Amino acid sequence: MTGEVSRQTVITVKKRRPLETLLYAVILVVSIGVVGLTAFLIVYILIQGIPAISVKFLTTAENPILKTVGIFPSIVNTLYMVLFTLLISVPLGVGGAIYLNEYAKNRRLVGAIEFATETLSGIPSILYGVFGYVFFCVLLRLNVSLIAGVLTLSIMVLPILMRTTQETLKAVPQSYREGALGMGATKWHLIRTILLPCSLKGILTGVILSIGRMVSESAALLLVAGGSAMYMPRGNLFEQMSHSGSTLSVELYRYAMSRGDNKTAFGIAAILIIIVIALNLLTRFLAGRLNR
Amino acid sequence: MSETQSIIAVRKGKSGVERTMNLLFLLCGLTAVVCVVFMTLYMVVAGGPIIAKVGFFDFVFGRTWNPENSQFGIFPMIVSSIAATGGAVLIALPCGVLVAVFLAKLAPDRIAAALRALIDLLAGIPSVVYGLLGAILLVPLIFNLQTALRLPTSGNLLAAMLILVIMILPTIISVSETAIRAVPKEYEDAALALGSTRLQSIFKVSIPAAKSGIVAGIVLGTGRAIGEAMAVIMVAGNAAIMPTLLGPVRLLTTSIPIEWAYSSGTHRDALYGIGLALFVMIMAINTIFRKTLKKGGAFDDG
Amino acid sequence: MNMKKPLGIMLSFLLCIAVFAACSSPAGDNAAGGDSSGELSGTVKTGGSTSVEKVMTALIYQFQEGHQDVVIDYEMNGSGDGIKNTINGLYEIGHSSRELKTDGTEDGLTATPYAIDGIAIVVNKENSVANLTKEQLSGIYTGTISNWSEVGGKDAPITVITREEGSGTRSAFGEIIGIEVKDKPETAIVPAATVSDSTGAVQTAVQQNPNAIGYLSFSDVDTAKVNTVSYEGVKISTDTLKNDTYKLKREFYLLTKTGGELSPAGQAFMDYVLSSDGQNIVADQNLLPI
Repeated sequence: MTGEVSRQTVITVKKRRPLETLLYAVILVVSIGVVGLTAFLIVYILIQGIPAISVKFLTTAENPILKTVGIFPSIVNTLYMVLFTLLISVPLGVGGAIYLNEYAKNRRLVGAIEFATETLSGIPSILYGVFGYVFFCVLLRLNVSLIAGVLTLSIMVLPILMRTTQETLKAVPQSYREGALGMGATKWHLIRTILLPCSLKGILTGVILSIGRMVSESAALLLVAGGSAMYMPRGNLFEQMSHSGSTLSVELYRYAMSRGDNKTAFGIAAILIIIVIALNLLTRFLAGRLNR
Repeated sequence: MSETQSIIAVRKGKSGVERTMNLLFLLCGLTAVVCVVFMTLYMVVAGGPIIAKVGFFDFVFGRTWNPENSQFGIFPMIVSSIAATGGAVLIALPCGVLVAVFLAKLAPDRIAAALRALIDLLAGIPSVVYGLLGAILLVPLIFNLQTALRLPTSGNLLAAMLILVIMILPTIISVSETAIRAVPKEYEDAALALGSTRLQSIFKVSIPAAKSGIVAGIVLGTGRAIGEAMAVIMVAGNAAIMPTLLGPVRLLTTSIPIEWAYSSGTHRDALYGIGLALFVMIMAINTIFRKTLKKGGAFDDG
Repeated sequence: MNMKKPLGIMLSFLLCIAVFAACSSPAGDNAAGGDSSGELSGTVKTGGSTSVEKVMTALIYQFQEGHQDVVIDYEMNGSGDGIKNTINGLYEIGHSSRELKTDGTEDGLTATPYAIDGIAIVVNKENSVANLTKEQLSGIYTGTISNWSEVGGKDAPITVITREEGSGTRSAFGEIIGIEVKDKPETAIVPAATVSDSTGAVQTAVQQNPNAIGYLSFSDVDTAKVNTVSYEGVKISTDTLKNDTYKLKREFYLLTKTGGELSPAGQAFMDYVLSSDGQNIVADQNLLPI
């Protein structure tokens, strides 16, 4: 009997070999394909876009009389958006994740919050645009403005921050918590001195992901913050935020679709790619340093 | 004695802070819930009127979208959205999982790290950039196909699908990879010990164990695909007709930005209605996925 | 000790904001008005047609150069939006690339023309068709003519590109060639037509699609990207627009509430557009001055 079993096993193993090799090959081909495509796309954008970039391009606004192009206003708009959105969403997201992971006892509450977070992350940006418009622009009378854009973006990146922070907190060994509590620390003390520092890398990853999401966002912002970035920033911060304005992504859309100016569009695309690359490198650098 | 007293006193002092922080964190957590509640509320409030006006069946199953003539049937757009998303996920899922397997299990560490970095980059690229690339590189290629088949050349469903595939691939890859990595090594070791090959243990043990994570990736990917507007506008042709693979299509999502700017009154209400329809679809998909998760979740309890 | 890092990051964010705020120069208040010395200041809210974008942005730019304290907001959401929002007061001045409707829905506005724009019919650079009659054009757009060979071109299906409903250009175009007549469904634009949401988008679409046909504002036409097609034997140019032989044209309008008062800055802007300086800019953008 044992002999029969082992013969069967040998046969089945032999049968699987070519299938295995095929599978390995497929995996390899697909992976190389995906990676190759990525590399090609990125290189293409940079090749097409970098010639459009110059100091003038980056630091001036558009001049319709001289027919020159400049994207400084949209750069400023983008920076404002990112900064203010992070200011709102990072505390909320990290706090929420801490609550879920460290404090929450009521199963139903946890379920509700997790369901809400999951729902939020599944909602497409265009719907955030519709909601943001109806709620922030119309109901809260903010009109189409950068502030409305910031608020809408905050809700958008909330799930990202909560999820990444939660994952990071989960990865912190339970023994840390038990040890600290055993030594008499209170929960808040534990969070402050042990959990947060340990999770910093993860939280920063979440922040970087959020920034990436914000910079790439266009549909929602088109509806909620709309407009164009034609003039150099004027007025104090509050005034600027209450005007409509487009960020880099929205400007790209405008230049590509409305103006048919592919050269500028690629220029903006190249800048966006460079920003994304920079954000990625930043994460790695920071992560390395924080591990010390 | 004084030592004990001071400890108690210190602890009492701290408990005030404790309670405050507890409450603060609770509020943070509740933000998500509050947002969802408001969103649902406002989507219904904004989108309800048009459905009341036009009638549910005429709106959802009507085949003609012609706002100037007060015709608000969104059926073609619903079908197009489903087709584009379904097609994209169908293509992206196997590719994504395979690449995730490669990254998590098969690739040498340094190569995997480099590839992961590249894919992270892909994930961060804005949708409008994909739209631009699609319009410049992909659509002209498909023009050749259309011309060969004697079809009118235009943006089309295929282009939309392919763009969506590239957009959701990084999501599926990274979430699947995380999920596969999170499977305890013991599972695979056990399988290997029982005589399975590397690939067998991966595909028959780790992947099912990682199912909830992979499904989460699908949900995220589907959400992104079904909600994508900007990239698709630039490649899909934008005609509100029933979809054909190589014909121009308009999805639920693309109608909104295109007509948003100049719509008013009933037309704008109709766009809110589209938003509501989309919202309902997303919630439905999410619920279905969660139910599937719960069914297949037995593995995780092991 | 370990709270310092996140705190530090927060603080640097705040610092950046402070720097930005400091860098911005203070400007006038939001209510447009002049002060006693006669210097104009404030924000003038305008919005409407996308077709007028090129000439309007040039006019706004030049006007703001001469009046540093004035900001003219120009939102581009289409002529229909401009008309509606001027009626309800959101915009002080509205922009339209078509005439106001006479059916009573657009009453209460005064339309001041400031430029004459030709609507150019454009085809891809590879397309050899050089002339189309009114019948051929309306046939193409209603779908009765579906192949380029029927109008003297190569054997390929025609890809029809149109603007979104609510576009002033689309209305003006439709009125002249007799399509999209209300209550006449046979004159509707073929449903499979690709909808582009701005005048420039039409040009891009035509540029990239060898079998496409579209219509757009002459001021936006870039002959390096697309070919223009003669209409009824007349090629579009500033001359044929001037001598009225090219019939596909419409005017650009500044819309104001009838009987209403414009702010000093708003009034100054309108005067500027109609002045010889403004009209020079109009001519510079391939439009006809009034």
